[in-house]
Amino acid sequence: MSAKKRDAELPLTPAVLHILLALAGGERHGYALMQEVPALSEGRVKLGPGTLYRSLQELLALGWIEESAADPVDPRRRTYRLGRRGRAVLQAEMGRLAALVETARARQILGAEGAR
Amino acid sequence: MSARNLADALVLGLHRRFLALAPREFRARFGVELLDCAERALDDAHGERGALASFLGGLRSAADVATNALALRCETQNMKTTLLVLPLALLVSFFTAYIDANQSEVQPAVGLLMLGGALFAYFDSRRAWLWWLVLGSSIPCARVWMDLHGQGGDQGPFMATFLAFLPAGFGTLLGSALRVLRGRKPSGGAPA
Repeated sequence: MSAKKRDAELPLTPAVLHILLALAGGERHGYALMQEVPALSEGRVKLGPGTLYRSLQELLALGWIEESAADPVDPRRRTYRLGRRGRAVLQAEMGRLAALVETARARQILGAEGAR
Repeated sequence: MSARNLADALVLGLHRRFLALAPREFRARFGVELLDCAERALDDAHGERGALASFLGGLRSAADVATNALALRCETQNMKTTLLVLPLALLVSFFTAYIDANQSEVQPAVGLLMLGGALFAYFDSRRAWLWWLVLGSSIPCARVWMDLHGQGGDQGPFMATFLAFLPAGFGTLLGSALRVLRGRKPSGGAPA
């Protein structure tokens, strides 16, 4: 994926950003993502099942995530993993956010410790 | 059946009903997983937050399924144009009925019906029938409303109001024809 094409996808929606970030920690099934996203965002982002699976459908179609084999114990639970393209987009988005944080620090909106 | 089971059955039933609004491909691919997630979230919420909070959380979750299912449906059928044009068409329809009721001449209302029909059909030609219905029914509906409120007066036979469908139909045909003549794919609908 070219840098230009990748940057055209930014900024990501909060749902997509948190899903990709959760999958950066390894394969997850849908319910694990629903639980992990609020934990990652300190409860600020909560995914309902409709938002979650609509986002997963989009991410699969974009090729940013991939589907792993069905769980042998419970075939209803499919797991998803971050793809190469998804990782590149996530890195670009985190770089963009980091640059914003630097700007905020330079303008004294954030302290050295960051603000909550 | 206990109150908890009843509440859970209600909430999960809502999830199923709302999921049915989503396109078939989405349901086939994600439906079972989605319902499984909703059920597990409900079970966990009972343990962590109590019956009332879990019921309310379940309702929020069902609403989330409904809004996303409808959004997916709109995306699949490319209904964005239609949803944008519909309020305008209703506005023109009300305005036409108002003009018709307050003017002795019919030409302004006929002109509005033709112009509105042509414009809306040009921008969303796949649903030209809808614009024809919305505009054409404006004058008969206004007449019914006025009769119900005792404001009908002597305005001629009711059936004559259905003549509004003629200029509306002419306009929508004209708009659709212009769209075809421009050599562009008909807009605003699912691919054929």
